[in-house]
Amino acid sequence: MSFNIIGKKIPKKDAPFKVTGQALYIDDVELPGMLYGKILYSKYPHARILHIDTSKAEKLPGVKAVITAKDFPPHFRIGFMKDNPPLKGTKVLSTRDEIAAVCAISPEIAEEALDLISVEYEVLQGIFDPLVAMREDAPILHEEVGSNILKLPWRLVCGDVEKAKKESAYVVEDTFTTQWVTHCCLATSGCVAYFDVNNNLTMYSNTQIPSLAQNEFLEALTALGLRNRRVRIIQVTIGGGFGSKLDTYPYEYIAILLALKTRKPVKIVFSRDEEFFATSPRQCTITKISQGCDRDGRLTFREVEMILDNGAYTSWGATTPSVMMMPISSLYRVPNVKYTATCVYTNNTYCQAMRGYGNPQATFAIESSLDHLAEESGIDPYDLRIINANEPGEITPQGFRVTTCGLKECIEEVAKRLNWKEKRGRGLKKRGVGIASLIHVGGGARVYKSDGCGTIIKMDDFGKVDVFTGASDIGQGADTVIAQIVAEELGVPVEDVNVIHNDTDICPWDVGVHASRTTFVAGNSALFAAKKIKKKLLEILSKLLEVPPEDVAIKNGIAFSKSDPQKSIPLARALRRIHFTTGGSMLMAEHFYDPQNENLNKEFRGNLSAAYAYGTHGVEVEVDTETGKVKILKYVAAHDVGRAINPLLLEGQIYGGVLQGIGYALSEKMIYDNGYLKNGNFLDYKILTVRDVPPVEIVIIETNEEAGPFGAKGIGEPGLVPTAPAIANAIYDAVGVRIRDLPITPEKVLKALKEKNKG
Amino acid sequence: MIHDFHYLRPDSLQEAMTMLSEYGDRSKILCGGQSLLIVMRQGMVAPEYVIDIKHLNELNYIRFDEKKGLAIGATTTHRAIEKSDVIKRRYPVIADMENRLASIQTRNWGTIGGNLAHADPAGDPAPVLIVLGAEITLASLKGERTMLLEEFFVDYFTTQLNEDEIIKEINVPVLPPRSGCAYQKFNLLRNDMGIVGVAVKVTLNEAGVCTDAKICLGNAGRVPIRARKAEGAVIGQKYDEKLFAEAGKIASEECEPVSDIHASEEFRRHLVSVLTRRMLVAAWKAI
Repeated sequence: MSFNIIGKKIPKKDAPFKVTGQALYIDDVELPGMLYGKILYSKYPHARILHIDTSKAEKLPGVKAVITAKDFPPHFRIGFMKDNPPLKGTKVLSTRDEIAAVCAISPEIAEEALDLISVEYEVLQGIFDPLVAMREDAPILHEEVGSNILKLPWRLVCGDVEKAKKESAYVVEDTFTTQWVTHCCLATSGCVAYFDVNNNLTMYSNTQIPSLAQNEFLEALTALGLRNRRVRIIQVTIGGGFGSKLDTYPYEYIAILLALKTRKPVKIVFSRDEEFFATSPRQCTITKISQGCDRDGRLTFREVEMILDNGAYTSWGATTPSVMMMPISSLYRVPNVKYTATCVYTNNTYCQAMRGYGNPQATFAIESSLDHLAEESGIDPYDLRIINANEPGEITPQGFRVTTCGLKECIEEVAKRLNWKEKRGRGLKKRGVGIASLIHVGGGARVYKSDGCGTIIKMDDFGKVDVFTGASDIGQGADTVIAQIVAEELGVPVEDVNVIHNDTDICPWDVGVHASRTTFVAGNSALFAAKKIKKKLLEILSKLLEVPPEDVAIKNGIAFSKSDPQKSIPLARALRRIHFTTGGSMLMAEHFYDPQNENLNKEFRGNLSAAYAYGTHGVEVEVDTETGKVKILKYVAAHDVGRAINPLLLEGQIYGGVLQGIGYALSEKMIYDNGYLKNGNFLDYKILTVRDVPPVEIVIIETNEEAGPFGAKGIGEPGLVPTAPAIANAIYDAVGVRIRDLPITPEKVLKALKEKNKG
Repeated sequence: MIHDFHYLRPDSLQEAMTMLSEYGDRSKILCGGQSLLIVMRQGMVAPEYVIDIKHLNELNYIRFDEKKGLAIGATTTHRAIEKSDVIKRRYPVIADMENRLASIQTRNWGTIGGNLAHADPAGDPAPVLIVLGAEITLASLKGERTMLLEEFFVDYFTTQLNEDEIIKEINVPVLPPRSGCAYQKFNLLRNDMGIVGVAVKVTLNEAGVCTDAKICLGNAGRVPIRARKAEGAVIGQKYDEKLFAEAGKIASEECEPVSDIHASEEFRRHLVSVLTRRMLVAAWKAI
């Protein structure tokens, strides 16, 4: 198939606005009479609140409102398990617990007012280790739940693991642990809330889930006694999401209440400090994994037990085991699978979605363990992966129906480019190579009741196209990709397609930007809407050109007869012709696309996604055995993407993922000490900088997914999924130590080397 | 949030010193702000007066004289030092050190005077300048005084600067013949603050015997520390990697690192030992 616009490296449509400073971020929103909200957080990770005195703060000139838990309806809770009051009135469970909030005519006054609020605490013993929290004698953090173990029994059982274990020729068992890491969005979280005279709410927001947020804010308004109101979400330019804005948070409800009390727009924008300690990171995990294979290296079983530190409250992070199940059951062919996960309340920060949604933690365990199994069985890690690689057409134990699958090609390509056969196992110059693969949802993911996205398209008198999509662009390039898809289908230049995505009053519903779903789901939605408008267009053009509709083609905004190209008309003229006539018409179309995927059933089975994305990363490292420092010499990332709609943006996604993944593997960690974050700034939190970027080679494998728009599958998250285990495996190959705890710091490597030399 | 303050912008060094003599400890010198603004934002420092001298061109210079050596004015930016031809030619160790000091944005704004006055023991310039034998000149209305840079640092974030004094100039002597220098910091990210840093300068005689050695350790104590015992171990000796390893071990024992979120004390001592050996090798080879 030949394309005009699909497959072209088209720069991001929003790039000029961002680089010139024209893009409007949440911090840029200024409304007349706007007030500034600030939040008072808990001093302690676990304490009873005995008394709050806000009287001094209220008297400070410029302060317009001070609120505490009393101002919210008593039983109002937010979050996935409805366990989180926006303001805490009786008890605090973490140092990010919100106790009171102020709004004032300037942020400085609001900040000053916070200092005037006095809170009397009775400090309680905190629990910061999930294993301690799980003990029977541990104090219960949420009395209403009655246990520190969340009532979320994640459990997937396929086949007979016990039997398979006994029959396996080789079995390995390991425990892996991962740390908290945070999204580090360039633009911090924030919103501006205001009510009109009819008590309808408008929220300027950088949410990733406008439609779901709208629903949740409507619930809040109802709880506040405002029934049957409207909520309008206006998305500003979003300076990074990575999952952090996939939920609604206390600060948003606080802004809403402050706006309601003052009848003024209220803005809350997080400082960098707050962005570090008061947003929800990737959950840390303790993973016990066992895998086995037969004499020929065929995987026989995989058993995984996992404990997740949920933190003090529950956000979507607690549901990441639903995604961890995917690689556990379906990365490589493994007939018998058992997985259990326990989420545990602690007095730590509560966790959320972050790029990969649990997949990186699970894949770190699976792929590290797989190398261990390779060693145990004496099979080359590459061969072991090829033997077990998934193939098109298979149905995995969890019930995933694999359509396209380029995993084998990915593994082969990476091994070739790494020069695997030459380099592996030599340990020369303390250099080594490692590989790891991934599976991820690539055709949406039905985690909600709907996985859909709506699109409305209209064409104007000048041949230009407006596309109103439910999709959100959080920097990943949805606007550009959707414009390309529509432009390709309609035969217009890509710059003639304007994508509007930022207003729930205008744009149709979408479940949100998550699960690497936007290109697939919103792309398909836009494509089908474009097909509908094209059908109408061709009928009109057929009349104007006096040829049958099937003889009409459109290219670069000009319609012509395929059989007689002399017969042609610019689209703009055609559109005006049919508009400016008695009984005229204008072209509009809509489509709501919901992929053919399934919610997981009670046994956590079902075809979660309409297509699956695969990939393999390979890395060559050099380890300084005197300091423990790991240097990446070469990095290869091969991804089965179905089809690259825009290779430039696609590579950008993979580069970004790989770099975030390297940070996860080697340097990033939120250091908590008894509930307090110790490195909540960019000096002490070690995110890679431009000077730390190793050479990264990207390989795009196209498998042309039939269900995807022009064959595309999702690629938002996969880039960081197999990074950490690929690096860990390379370190093992280089110097013979396996680090099972992320991040792999020099100190850990050095310690392991010392122990190895002792033994 | 930064507390309100009066912003003062003197037009000359003379005027700046006059302001300092008037406001004393109620004021702070701003010279790039790459350190000061951070501590002000954190509320750790809340001066009533901020005296901005960044624009004072009379202190913005890099001069080299075959006899007097290198003179760097206090308001010279890190980036200017990094890019200076004469420094690249005569003191490449300084240019290399600057190249790995924070980000380009920071180097464009931050100044050598500001860096030294901040006296963070993890700062990069001090160890390098100390092994080069640099002197620092402080000025006030009462006059000027010059001291060895290694004597300038008193404690964490504390220097010999009196309330009314300002850093005027850094002087680096001309290196004797057959001298070599090297500096390396150990960190996770290339341009990050050093977990530790080690600077070494050695001078040999014609027979290849070390006649002078200076080793300075960054972030291994409250101030940049001279590893004098380790220096003693190599002075009078020829190139000997075993000896350098021994010197590294000595240095690791004479420093006073602490444990923090980035590294344990033990790991820091270990790194001092390894880096000291490596920098001795590198300095020797740089001759």
